[in-house]
Amino acid sequence: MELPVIPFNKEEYIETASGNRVSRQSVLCGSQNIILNGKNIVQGEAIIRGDLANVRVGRHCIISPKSVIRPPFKKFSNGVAFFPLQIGDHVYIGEGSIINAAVVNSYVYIGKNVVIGRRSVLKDCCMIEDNTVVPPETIVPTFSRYGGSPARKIGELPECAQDMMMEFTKSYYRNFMPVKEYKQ
Amino acid sequence: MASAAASIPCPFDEALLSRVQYTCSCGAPQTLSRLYFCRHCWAPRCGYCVSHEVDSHYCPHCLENMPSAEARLKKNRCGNCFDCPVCAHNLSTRATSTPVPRPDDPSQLVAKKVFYLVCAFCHWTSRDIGLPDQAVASGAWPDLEPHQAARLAQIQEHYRGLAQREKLEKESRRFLGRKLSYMQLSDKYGVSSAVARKRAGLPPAARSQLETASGAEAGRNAVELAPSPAVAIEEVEVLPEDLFTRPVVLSDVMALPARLSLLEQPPVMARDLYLKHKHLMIKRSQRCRECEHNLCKPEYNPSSIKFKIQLAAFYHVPEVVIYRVDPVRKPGTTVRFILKIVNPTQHPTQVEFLSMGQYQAARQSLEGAPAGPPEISPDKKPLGLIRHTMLVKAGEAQQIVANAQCLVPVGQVHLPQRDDAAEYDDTGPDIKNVVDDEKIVAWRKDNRVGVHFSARIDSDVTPNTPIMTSMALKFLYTNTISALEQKEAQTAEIMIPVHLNLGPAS
Amino acid sequence: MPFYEGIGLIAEKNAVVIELGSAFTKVGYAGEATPRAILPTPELPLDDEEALYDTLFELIHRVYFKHLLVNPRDRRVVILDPLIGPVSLKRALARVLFQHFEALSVLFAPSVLMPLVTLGRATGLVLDAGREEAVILPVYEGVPVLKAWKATPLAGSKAMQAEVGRLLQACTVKTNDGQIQPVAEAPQAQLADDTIVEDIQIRLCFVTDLERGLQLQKIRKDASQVSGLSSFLKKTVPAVTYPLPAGHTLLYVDGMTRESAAEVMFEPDEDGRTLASLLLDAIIACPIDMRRELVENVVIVGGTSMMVGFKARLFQEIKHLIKEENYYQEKMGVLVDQFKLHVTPTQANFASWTGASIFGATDAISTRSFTREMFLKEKIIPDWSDFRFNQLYVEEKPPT
Repeated sequence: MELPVIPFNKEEYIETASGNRVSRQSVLCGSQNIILNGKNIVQGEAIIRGDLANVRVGRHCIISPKSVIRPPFKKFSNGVAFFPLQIGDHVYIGEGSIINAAVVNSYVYIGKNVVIGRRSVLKDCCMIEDNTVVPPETIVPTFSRYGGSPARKIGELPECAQDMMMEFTKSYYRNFMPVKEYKQ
Repeated sequence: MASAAASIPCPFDEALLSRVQYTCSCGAPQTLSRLYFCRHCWAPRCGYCVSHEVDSHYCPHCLENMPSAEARLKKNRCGNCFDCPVCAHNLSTRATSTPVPRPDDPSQLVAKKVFYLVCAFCHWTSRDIGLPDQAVASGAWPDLEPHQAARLAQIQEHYRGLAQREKLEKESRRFLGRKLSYMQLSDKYGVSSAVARKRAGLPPAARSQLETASGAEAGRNAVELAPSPAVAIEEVEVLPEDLFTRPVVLSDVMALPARLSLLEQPPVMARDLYLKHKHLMIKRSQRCRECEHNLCKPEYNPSSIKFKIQLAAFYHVPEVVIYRVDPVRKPGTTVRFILKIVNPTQHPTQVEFLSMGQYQAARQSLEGAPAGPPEISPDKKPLGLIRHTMLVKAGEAQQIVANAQCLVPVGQVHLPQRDDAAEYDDTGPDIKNVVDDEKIVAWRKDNRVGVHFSARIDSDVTPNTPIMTSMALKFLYTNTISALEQKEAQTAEIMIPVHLNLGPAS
Repeated sequence: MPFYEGIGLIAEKNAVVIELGSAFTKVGYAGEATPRAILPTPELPLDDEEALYDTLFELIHRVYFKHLLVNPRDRRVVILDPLIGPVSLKRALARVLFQHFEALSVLFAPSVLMPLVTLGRATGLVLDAGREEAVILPVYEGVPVLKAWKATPLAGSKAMQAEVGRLLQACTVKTNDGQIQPVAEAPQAQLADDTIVEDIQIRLCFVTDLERGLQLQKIRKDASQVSGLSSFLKKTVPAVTYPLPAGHTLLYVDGMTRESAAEVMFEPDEDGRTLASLLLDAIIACPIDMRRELVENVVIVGGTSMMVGFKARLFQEIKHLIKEENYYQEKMGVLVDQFKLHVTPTQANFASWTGASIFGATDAISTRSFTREMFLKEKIIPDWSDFRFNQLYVEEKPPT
């Protein structure tokens, strides 16, 4: 499928040397604990809570507006501890989704308004449908499609999901164009 | 900005993907992502045309493999992971400590670590049904036995014996000639021949009981079994005393899905719920039903997304994407559109487009003299004892009816190979000698090319009905598998009809 | 995995047992007490051969790769075969299993006999109350007495579900702004959704006793004719508050709905027949010397029969009918106190499946199955209604 051109305001975004495009409207708390490995897009009003624990994001990830990335905690008898959150390559996080996972592996598609419960693990090549609630401590296996509340497996992804996801995130990055250059 | 992001299509949206459908060799239209390409038969294969095989079992929660013999023994369930019986989410283990008397001094209490299970979604716990906490984190939870398991085992043995005897009799009769005539039986009861036939199809119980009654070789192999006794209805079922007075707590009465998910002892009330072992999942491989070659074989490790064999059409057949379509699509007019063609292979290819009429003609001329490749190598051995592979042709109902005639561009388009390093390499592929016809090629980049098309929409198309048009993709396919045997890479021209949904008519 | 596969070939390969019920499909392995899974049966387009083939293909594919997790190739299959059922379905199922899934053989087990297998008996009066209809068929020494076959759609849970939906229209809902209004006027009370009606039917409704049942039937016809109506209504079961999934709305399911919905299964139909009278008619249709044994061996299976009070009510109706109606008094009077019921060792909704599972784990699977070879040669499947298979049975000679 062909993605439309995704316009953005050139003034709003900062482009880093490694190709990350980060909106000035996004909130990156504890930015010294946040690692973006390159060619990622962090859009307006997205929140990344690096102040709680380390957040590592791979390459070619898209973090949509109003999404929240928040390292998970675990309760112990003597208090609460936060754990680092890791996101792989070619991951798409839809608008308004809240990610409390421990690990989001590569080639993962997360739809809109999704809640990923704390300490969940999303394995490679999986997809979470829009408006899904993935309860805490869920493991989502490879090539599965989850939906509903509580989330359960509702389908499978094709064997070529890895390359479809790669193509998707790359073309998103290609089509993510500053407004001043954008004309039709 | 937010609104732009909202309209981003999902790459796995079936409705969007199915706007471009390829025709499988069985005739069924399929999206490219759901097709395989058999490079032994040189033909596309869909889910119907491959036989699926269970490769390995694994638990989707702990992601551990289970050998298939063990999986069979454990009824395809993981020994350590449990599902919540209420909401089907997985249960988590929680540790807590409980005071127990010290073994050497019972008057003093010490803290002991114990475990229970809790659902992180609906907060059901193993304590809700009165299960005592366990001293070890996993593996110690008792399992449910089906009601009356012993009685059923007895009945099973009984019938096994009877059937065995029937088999022996049948074999001995084969030598002695047919001794037992069904005619006698039917005479005996004066029943119709239909019943006599039924008699032959019924379980062995009846006849053997007749024999037992007449004293003939009573129970040679059979386990002697007293038939289940009947009971008076009053002992079976009476309306509960408090039915008319006790208020019902809705959440205590289980809904049908919960009752059907625990079949050993189906729960009617919440107190009857029990831990449910997690059901396993499988890794599956696909085999071409025509030539028996594997088309797709995943790696053994459940977490791996790699494949030992990967012949998904996505990696072998040029991808057709609807790039742009004229916004106005009036019936009786011609609509222009651009298709993006992507070469996913490591070899440059030539692509041509045929109208459906040209395709049919080409197909017919090919059928006269099949062009080499589809010969199946003689080293192929049948796997089963009796093997009749059958490709079932798709039915009429699955055919796509076009309501616009595709006007295909004439001439070949060169497509360079896919280059994974292109991202870092600004020079691009070598296309110095390629001269593009500007009437055909709209643009080109790396292994992608945009091609001009148009289609004449039928005049009787009503507004908002999707405009469907069909053409055939003809491309040069370079086969690498035969290159191993024959030094030189084999190439062949493959034709696959493609159906396009250009969007609703205006 | 070839190592294990090798063992699999030598070691016993359990047959797969499939029962396509009108509401639920039960699947599992022969030799096991319970099915591995019970899943909703998809709507089957019986008139369209191609569509039926595709629907069954999808279903069986799901069964093998999601629930049974086993290779379908060269595996034996047991199918529960309703004696009076669409042959087109049976044919399509055999085609799917043999052509697509390359089953080694298919054994058609007559479903009416299977509950008796779980009891180790050969004689019994089998009542199977499913979603679409209730079927009564006496079996004597293993022979179904086909001429005594009776069926009524009234006593299917589908008929009752429609009744629950109808009665709920008279109940009230409380919306999140505190308003109480009748269901019929509340658009947010989405009762059109059958799953809610079915859920209420299964979790809250029951079958009341004969005395109250007859009263309820009278009230349904004409409430003004009933004496002591208000005190009768007062005695009914407590109402239940049922939260609707959409829009924070509470539905009050009143006691009358809970109690009276099931009456539709026991009311006489247009010809004045009830489930009880059909059952008696079935017995009377059998030769006189079979009757006592049938009466003493009643077997009731099917999901609908699991409703609280169903069996008790049926037996009350039967006794009432024999006492009140001269015809039945004359024919069945001496047997009125002889009625006895069998309790199947597994739940009524999959008792037939369990029987087939026991049957499929015996040598019968190799001696009585219809093999793929036979199917490929003949392209037909055996059925008692087909004359080719209905001549006096020729065991060794496949039909030509």
